[in-house]
Amino acid sequence: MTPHVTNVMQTFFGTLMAQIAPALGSEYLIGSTSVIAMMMSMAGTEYERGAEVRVMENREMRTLFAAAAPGIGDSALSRRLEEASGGEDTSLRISDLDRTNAALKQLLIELHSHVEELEGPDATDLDRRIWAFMRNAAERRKLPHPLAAA
Amino acid sequence: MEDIAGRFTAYLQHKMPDASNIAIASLSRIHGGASRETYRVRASWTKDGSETERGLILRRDPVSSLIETERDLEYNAYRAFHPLGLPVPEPLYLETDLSWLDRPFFVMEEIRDCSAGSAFNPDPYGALAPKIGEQFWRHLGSIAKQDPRAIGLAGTMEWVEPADVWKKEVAAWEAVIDEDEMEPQPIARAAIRWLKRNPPPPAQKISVVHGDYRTGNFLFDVQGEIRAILDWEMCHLGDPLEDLAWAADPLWAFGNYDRPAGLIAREEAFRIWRAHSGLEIDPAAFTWWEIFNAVKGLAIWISAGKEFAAGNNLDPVLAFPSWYCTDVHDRFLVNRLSELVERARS
Repeated sequence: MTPHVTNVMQTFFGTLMAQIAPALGSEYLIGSTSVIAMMMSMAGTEYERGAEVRVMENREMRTLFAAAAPGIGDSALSRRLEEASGGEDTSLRISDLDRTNAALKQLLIELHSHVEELEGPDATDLDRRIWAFMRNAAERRKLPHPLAAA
Repeated sequence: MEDIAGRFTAYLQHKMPDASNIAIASLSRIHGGASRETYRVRASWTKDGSETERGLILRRDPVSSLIETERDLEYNAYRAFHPLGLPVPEPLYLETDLSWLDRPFFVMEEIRDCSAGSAFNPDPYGALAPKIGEQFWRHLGSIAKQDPRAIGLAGTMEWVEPADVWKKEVAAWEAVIDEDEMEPQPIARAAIRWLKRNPPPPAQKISVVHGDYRTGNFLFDVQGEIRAILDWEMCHLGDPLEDLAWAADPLWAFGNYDRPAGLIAREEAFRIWRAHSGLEIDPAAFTWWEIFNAVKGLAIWISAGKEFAAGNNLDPVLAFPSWYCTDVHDRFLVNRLSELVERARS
């Protein structure tokens, strides 16, 4: 599909902001059009990277769960971690990746909450790994602000 | 299209029975103000033989909003602070009778020839930043300094004891996330657990908390005078550090932590606030309110996204923060919290 979606979205962002919004008479429509333009630019960014960031997150959470499961005393939680760690993304549709991502994140919340109640070096190490995962994942999802990039 | 102008003309006639020739020269919707539909109105009338032309702002409850609040909170705040000389618009009418415009609304004076800086503009104030900055932090200090009982607001808002403020606020915003999240929020959940494990000291005093004091929510003129502090729909009684930390949130300064609100240096801003509030800034308490405010922000952005996704309100201004502001607050929280957790270990 050419021109590339990201390129089209960025171009439309510029057209809406520089040509169309200023020509609108209504203050409300100018504001709304500007917001739509910025979101088109962000959608262009997400189109390019969307599958990759979700696949990476899902893979990293499964790796984290695989490492954590044997040391978790709560047998039910440990079993669920073990099961989740064996999954894989067979569909690369964003909606499918999001569904899996949500299930894994819900389990991550339970694991993190559980680990925070534990003491000892293993718990500290696991807690650090969870924070590191969340930092990296948030950084990968950073949305460049189109006005800052312009 | 809905005949708001015609119906509002009838309302003005009802409120001013002695006036004649009431006319609406223009009525146009203003962008922003995502929690209310906001209209700029140019009205004129004849009374006692003289003609009056006045700019008005009409704030009507939307069908669904970014922030679900009672409009009388905002109206009462304007009514309390206007006589004190704080730059707020003069409140004129509060109307809850649905027969006029289908939804409750209030009317206030229009502050003309002013603009609001956008929080999403990298440099919203330009050369006016130092002058506006001094006023911005001074006014926030003045709000914190007021005794809510003395200005008549304690009776209109729920009272809270200094030791209970943090619990009440965390519970309220956690409930919003519980109700509105469309996907699990590991960072917000970790932050909420941290807030509960590390409570702040009791508030120094119970103040009126504006609740959304920030870039974009005040009007200034070309000379750099702040003419109106707006959007009091989230005001409540609480810890004045909540407002200070919200105003200094990096989201409102394009991520610039050292120049909060995109105005003046952090140290100078906080010195001005201390001087005009008469209050201190306990570093640990301030840090707690910083974390809290990022969680509160996430709750608002999550809620806005849900309203948009559900089709309850398709204004793009509800979708935007759900993407962009969520991203900013997630990254701020995860970086700040992991530092704090690590520091507590060492």
